[in-house]
Amino acid sequence: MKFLHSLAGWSWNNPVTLKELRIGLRERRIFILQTVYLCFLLLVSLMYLPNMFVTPNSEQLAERGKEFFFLLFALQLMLLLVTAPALTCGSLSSERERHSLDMVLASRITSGQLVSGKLGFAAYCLILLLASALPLASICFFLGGVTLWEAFACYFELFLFGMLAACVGLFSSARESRSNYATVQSYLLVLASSFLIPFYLALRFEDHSSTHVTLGPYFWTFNQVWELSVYHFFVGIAGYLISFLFVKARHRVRPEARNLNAMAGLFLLLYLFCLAWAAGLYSLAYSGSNHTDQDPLAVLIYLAHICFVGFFLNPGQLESRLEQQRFRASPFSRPLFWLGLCVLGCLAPMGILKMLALKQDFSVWNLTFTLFFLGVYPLSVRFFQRAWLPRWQFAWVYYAGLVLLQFFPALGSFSAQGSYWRMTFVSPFSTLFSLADWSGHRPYNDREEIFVLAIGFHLLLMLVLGAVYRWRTRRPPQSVA
Amino acid sequence: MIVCQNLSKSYGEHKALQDLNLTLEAGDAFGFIGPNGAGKSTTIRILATLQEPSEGEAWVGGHSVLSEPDAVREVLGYMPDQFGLYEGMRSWEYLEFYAAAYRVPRQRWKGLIDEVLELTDLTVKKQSFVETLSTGMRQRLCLAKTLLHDPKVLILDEPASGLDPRARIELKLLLKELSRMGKTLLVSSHILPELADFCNKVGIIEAGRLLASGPVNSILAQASRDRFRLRIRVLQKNQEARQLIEKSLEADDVAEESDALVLSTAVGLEGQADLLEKLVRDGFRPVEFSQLKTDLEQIFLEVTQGITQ
Ligand SMILES: Nc1ncnc2c1ncn2[C@@H]1O[C@H](COP(=O)(O)OP(=O)(O)OP(=O)(O)O)[C@@H](O)[C@H]1O
Ligand SMILES: [Mg+2]
Repeated sequence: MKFLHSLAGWSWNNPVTLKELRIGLRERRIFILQTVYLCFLLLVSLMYLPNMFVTPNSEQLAERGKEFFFLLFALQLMLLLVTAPALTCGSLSSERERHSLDMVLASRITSGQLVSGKLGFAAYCLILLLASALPLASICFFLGGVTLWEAFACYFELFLFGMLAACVGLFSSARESRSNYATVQSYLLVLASSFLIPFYLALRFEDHSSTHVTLGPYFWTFNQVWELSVYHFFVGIAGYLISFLFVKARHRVRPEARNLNAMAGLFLLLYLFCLAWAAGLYSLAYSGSNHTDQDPLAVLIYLAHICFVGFFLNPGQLESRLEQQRFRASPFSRPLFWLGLCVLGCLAPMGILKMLALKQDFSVWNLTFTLFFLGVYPLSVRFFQRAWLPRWQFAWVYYAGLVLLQFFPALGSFSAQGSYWRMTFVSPFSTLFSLADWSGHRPYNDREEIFVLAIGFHLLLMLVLGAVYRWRTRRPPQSVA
Repeated sequence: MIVCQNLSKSYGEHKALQDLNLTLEAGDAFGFIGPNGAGKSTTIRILATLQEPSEGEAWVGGHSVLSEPDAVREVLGYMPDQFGLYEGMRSWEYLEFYAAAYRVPRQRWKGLIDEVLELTDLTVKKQSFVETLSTGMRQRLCLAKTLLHDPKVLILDEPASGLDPRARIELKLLLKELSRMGKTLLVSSHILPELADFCNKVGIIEAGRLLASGPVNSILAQASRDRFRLRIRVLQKNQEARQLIEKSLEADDVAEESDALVLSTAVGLEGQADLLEKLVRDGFRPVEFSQLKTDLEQIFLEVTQGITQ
């Protein structure tokens, strides 16, 4: 009930959206934007139209219709990525500049309402833009070739990625106190990630040659499993990023413990999504075969862990004592929770492989231990940072060093063991170990033994660092009356 | 209604506020005086739940600003020193936004908006766009927005800056009226006469410390208990008279103000009578010998030392 209430406050019952709409729709900006958007689309379609009807064959006609629709899709995607940040990148920073934010924050508007109100305005504008281009896109329905579902899926994606770009703008706006900086920052972020667009679009323009797979809620036909999965991955990650940026922006407006909890929760969702995605991919790609190349899975979960570390190393500053207390009371602030999660995360890929009845060999253990270390590293880094390092940036450097060390090929004492050692960790302990190996002493010959020792070493490291941290922050915590 | 307990705020090394203790009852009108950078806005922002104190705790309407900020926001009307209105909105739309922001039931919006517009004398500007209002009107619109949810406590940070004398007097009347309606007022200002009129309590702050606070009368009395401000005027021979006065009243801050001498002294009434007698005896011809009433400005100058941070 409470959730429904806050949802209502965030969406259709939001005074901030109404205010933004009142101001925004009175300005000329939105209409100029819409005009430019439509003119551009129209221009390109006019260039395309003449050679559209020259083919008499109805099958070719359908093919042309499809092409035209995808052309519009690609254009709209690009245009939205350019326009959407403009809708939000000044929204919070300009309120700061005009000194109107304080009054809003002193009222009973929650930070979630404020941020979602600004986002709601962007959503209305995006819908306006998309809807106004609908008549143009409907030309291809005369030609055939695009089903209603496909069109629906395309528009859903356009909206999704438009919202993602808007969220980037909102996030920069919440970060910066100057609108200029926020604008530059959000466009830099969008530009930096725009190298992904060709990959994404390539999924669409592929010609139909090999196997067709129809899966998921989009009823989309894809040529290859890989493309389908990458497509789902894009959509899932976009969803994750939208919610993540939303929560981040909310945290910037008013730092609260629940934002940190939400971020942790979102991370867990992402984690589950990645696992489910990998499982789906594997079941599709390798069902029936006894292919055992786990690298894609490993890389994926590796990425997920790196995201998790991002939260873990820098969970955001909480100035408020009450919020600090709240955060301390939640499980997400406890290293034990994350340790448990890591262990589970490490077991999960094994479970997936087992479930899919794929052949298992030692490389699964390999993978598991790699993942375990990816979990344990950040924990030790976290302790290390809190015990010794003055700034969290140093912790990142330290962590990056540890991760790089894992791929360090020059320590090739394991290289003779075969190719699946690629993903094997190289912990500080095993570095020592290989040094010993080179110098002629070889105390251990068994891989498992190395693993166990290395884990022991890390646990000990964490214990020591934890103790130091405890000792260094031993002053009694201030309580809130 | 407002209680501050050992309120402190530091920005890094810099202590903007140190151990501020303050208690206001319901219906009090408190004038918060201090030079630039004294920490008035900092205190006010803490009370408005916009900043968190580094140390100490504060309660507004019985709710802690630290642990129940939303309850505080409900009973509090806050007007910042610098504020921007949303251009592109009409006055009533602006007020409607804040009515929704304070979760006033929708059916009461119309009546309330008319009421506060009436109270702040803006009824004729109801349909005007905010950017067409003058500075004073904006100030009043902001005040109207502050009154919308009928807050028990009003905290206004320099509400009179940028107003012409007439608007200032009108604002003063409005604040008096609000105080009469039983609202607790905390008004900061560095223009002192403005506060003396309707405040029943004042606090003087400098460099983050509250130097004096309490009912206006008691502060006035306290300050003038052992010091007198005198205005003495003799016909001609001002300079010689000045030496005599300085000697017998032990005053070192004698200032000339249009033929008269103004000074403050710790010498009591006996000594003053002696001086007057002596002046006459020595052939001076005093035409004025009066005791000046101590006002807020005077106290302010006496209490503060001109420390700027
Ligand atoms: N965000 C900030 N960062 C660092 N120092 C600050 C910040 N805000 C205020 N200060 C410092 O705190 C002190 C108190 O400032 P405050 O705004 O409370 O003064 P004030 O009494 O309102 O002055 P004025 O009459 O000029 O408005 C000043 O010395 C100011 O420099
Ligand atoms: Mg101020």
